[in-house]
This record gives sequence, C-alpha cells and structure tokens, in this order.
Amino acid sequence: MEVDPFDLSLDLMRRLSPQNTASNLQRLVKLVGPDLEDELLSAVDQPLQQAKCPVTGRDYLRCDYNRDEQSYRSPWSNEYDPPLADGTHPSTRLRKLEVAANDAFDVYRELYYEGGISSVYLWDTDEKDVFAGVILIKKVNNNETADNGSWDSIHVVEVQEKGRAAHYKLTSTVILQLLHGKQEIGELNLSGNMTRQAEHDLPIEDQNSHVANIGRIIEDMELKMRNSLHEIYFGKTKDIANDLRSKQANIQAELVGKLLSRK
Amino acid sequence: MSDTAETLATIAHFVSEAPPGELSEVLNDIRGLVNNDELLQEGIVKPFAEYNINSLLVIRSESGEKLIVSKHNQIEDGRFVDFKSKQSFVVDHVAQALSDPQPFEVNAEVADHRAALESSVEAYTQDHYPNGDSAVFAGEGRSLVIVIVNNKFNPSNFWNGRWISEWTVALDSDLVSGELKAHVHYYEDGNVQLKTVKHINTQLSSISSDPIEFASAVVKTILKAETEYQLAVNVTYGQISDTTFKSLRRALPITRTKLDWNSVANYKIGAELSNK
Repeated sequence: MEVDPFDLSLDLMRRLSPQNTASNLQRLVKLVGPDLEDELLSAVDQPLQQAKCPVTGRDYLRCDYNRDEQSYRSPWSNEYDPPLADGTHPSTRLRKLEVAANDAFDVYRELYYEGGISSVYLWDTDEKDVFAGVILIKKVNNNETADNGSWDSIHVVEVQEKGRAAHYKLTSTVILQLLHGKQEIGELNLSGNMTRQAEHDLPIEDQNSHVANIGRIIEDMELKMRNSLHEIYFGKTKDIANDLRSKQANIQAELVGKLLSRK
Repeated sequence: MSDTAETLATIAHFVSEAPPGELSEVLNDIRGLVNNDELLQEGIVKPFAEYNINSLLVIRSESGEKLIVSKHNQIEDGRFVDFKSKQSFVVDHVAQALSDPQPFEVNAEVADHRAALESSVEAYTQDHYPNGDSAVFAGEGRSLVIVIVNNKFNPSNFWNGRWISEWTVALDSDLVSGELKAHVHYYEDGNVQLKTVKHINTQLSSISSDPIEFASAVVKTILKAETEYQLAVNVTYGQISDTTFKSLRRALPITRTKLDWNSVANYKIGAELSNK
C-alpha cells in the first residue's frame, strides 16, 4: 500500500527542526520533484520574508500567495517586483477590498504588535461566490540583548458569500521562535509553529463588512492562539523538561518501584 | 528528481534532525519519499551511526548486557566498549543490536576509580533520572568520561524528550568539564521544540587519591552543577515569557479593549498612539 508523498512530507515537516523549515523545505522539494512543489510550498508554512515596495517605499511581506514566477506583488502599490508583464492581480472589486483590509490590519498590527509588518492579499477562486485571502503579520525582536524572537502570523481565509451573510473558513498558523543565549544559561532555543482552524457565519451589509468580519475572527483566533502558545511553550515544554530530571532525589519513586516489583 | 549525492545528503540531514523517540517515523517518511529502498539502505548506515552516538543510544542484549553508544567508548569503526562487563561489541546501528562480544581489558591505572565512580553515578542517576541510564568510560590518559541519558517518550500525547549529560574528569586533577543537553518535542497541532546546550567548567571541592572519596567528590560536583542548571533553565523560561514573548505581541492593545472594527477606518494612528 502506497502512502501519499504529500502526507509523508507533512508528517516529516512536523518532526524536523522548526528552525530549519525553509532549508528543509528546499531539500524536500528537490527530493519529491516538481509535481509536488507547488502543493508543498502552499501547504508548509515558512517564516515570512520581508521586502520594500519600490514604488511606495513601504515594507511588505512575501509568501507564496503574492508570488508569480519569481516576482512578488506589493499590497501597497499592487505592482510586481521585479515587474511582470502579465502577473496575476485581484479583480477591481477585490483590490478595493484588499486596500481596505490592508489599512485595517495596519491599525490592528500597530495596536497589538507595536511595530512589525502586515500584508493582506486577496484572490478570486473558481467558484463564483467564493473568494480567498491571506493576512500576514511579522514581528521580529532583534535587539542587542541575548534574547531574540520572531512571530509570524499566517491567516488563510476562504469566504463564501450567501446574499446577506457569508461563511468564513479560517486556517491560522503562528510561527514563534525564541532564542536565548546568555552566559549563565548557555543556549536555549524554543521554536515552533501551531495551526488552528475556525468557521463562522456572519452577516454582511456591504463589501466592507468583510473587513470587519475577517478582522474580528482573526482577532479572536490570535487571542486564543497566543494563550495556547503561552501554555505550550512556557507550560508544557517546561513541564516535560523538568520531567526529564528531578531536582530532588527520587527516593519515593524508587520505593514505589521496589514495592511493585516484589510481586 | 535530485541526483544521488544530493539525495544521500538529504537523507543524512533529515535523520540527524529526528526528535527523540521518532527516528523510525522519520525513517518511514524518508523511505516513502525516496522510493528506492536499495539507495536508502546504503544511505542510512552512517547517519544512523552518528544519530545513535549523538543521542547516547542504549542497547540491551537478550542476555542482559547493556551498552551505551557514545563517541567516548568507540574503539574502532562499529565496535564499542562496555567497561562494566569488560567486553566490547559490534553495533549494528540500523538494527540497534549487539553482536560478537570480545573481552576488553580496562586500563589498570584507572580501573578502580572508574568502577567506584560508576557506582556513585548509578546511584545519582537513579535518584535524579528515573528510567535513565549511565556509564563511566576510561578516556584518554587518566581521564574518565561520565554519560547519563534519560529518555521520556509519550507519542500518544504527542510529546517526546531526552536529557543528556556528558562529564569529563581526571585522576589527580580537580578540573571537571561537562556538556548538558535537553531536547523536547511537542507536536499536537503543530511542531514545537525546545533545545538547550550548556557547557560547564568547574572544579572538585577536594581531590583525593582514594577511589571512593574521588567518586563522591565528583558526583557532589555534578549534582550541584546540574541542579543549578535546571533551576537556571526554569528562571530563563520565566524571563523569556515575561520579556521576549510579551514584546512580540501584546495580549490586548494599550486601550485594554479589543479593536472596534466598525470604526477602524476612523482610527487616526498618530493620535491614538501618541497617548502611549
């Protein structure tokens, strides 16, 4: 029985070092061949690359969703860098929505991240009443101290319009890397990613309702994920690490073990 | 498709990154992706050897012998020494099996100290690493190497972890140097990994030529260093949580309320944020 190489790839990426996602993905793509490349690149989340829009001078984020060939589309200018003769662009209606979404998430980003970069990209799908988008946020903490960290949010949303309401499907991934290197502690690296999903049915009055709806479901999702990340990073992994070595002599455990083996 | 050399390099790299307790799952994935069992069998021999050595693989034979695979007790390619039973074995790294036991003579100069230290380390390991394993090897000259490994596998709850201690001491020296490593993998709906490395250089509080006193002094020093380190790791967790994590993303905006998405278009960023 053959297992789908796509599933094997995803399983593998769940186990390899989260610090090496980009390079491991490259190795994987070379291994499985060009047929699977597109599927893998869109399914495996990597830390986002940032670039400066040559037209507006503003920073934006690059990912597979705003890429066409080797060029990337800036959400601010709507142009490709390097320029492309006939690169993919959202429809006029979607571009209007995209501009509003980028402005709204720019505010969101500043209020929650106090810095960093955000970008929103929308695209039409084959289905008439369905459009999709990705909302990206990246914050890097790279000050002079021994602590480095980075947070990447990748929210993919699919929107199905049904008259006065819309169905929103959200898949959110946060990539969180924390690196600590102080003399006393040596190196401590806590890195990883987490993915969650949610679905909502919400009313729409006009196109702009989408911005508010998507904004709210992402805000709620990030609230939940921030809490979960905190629990897993600073609770779970710490508990496991403390489970590997017990600070006090484990006399009790030994006694229990000896009693049990006396059957 | 990549060429053979590239494929072999990729296989080696993926194997080296396998988290504790997940080597066979990683191998299973690689096997399906490479889709060439002959090449795979050839390609995993060296990577598996390196992996086993780096992770202090413990192999138990059917007849009850136990061997810890490490770079410190390898005498020739594929052959490792169990000092306690005074034997060496050939190790099949892929099958994780022992074969061809041969008697091994421990250097008489260090034999008594080694044995005493091993006893003390075993007791220390039982106290602090339930289900852990330890060994003491004779190193170069009059040095002794202590290894401790503790694995905790819990795949049904999506986590695995491993602790490794390696310490080097020497007869008639008070210098103690060590390396402590921890690797934790949590993978429910994600992939989160903790990796720590700590190098330590310290000294024995007293030197003695008596094997038992020597052993006791070494374990006392190791206990102190490892306990301090474990406490420091916990403190660091708190620091990272309170500073680095918080500075990446606030729990709530400075207004202490969620965003009013209906009037987000009216937010004047300058005005709002000048109140910080």
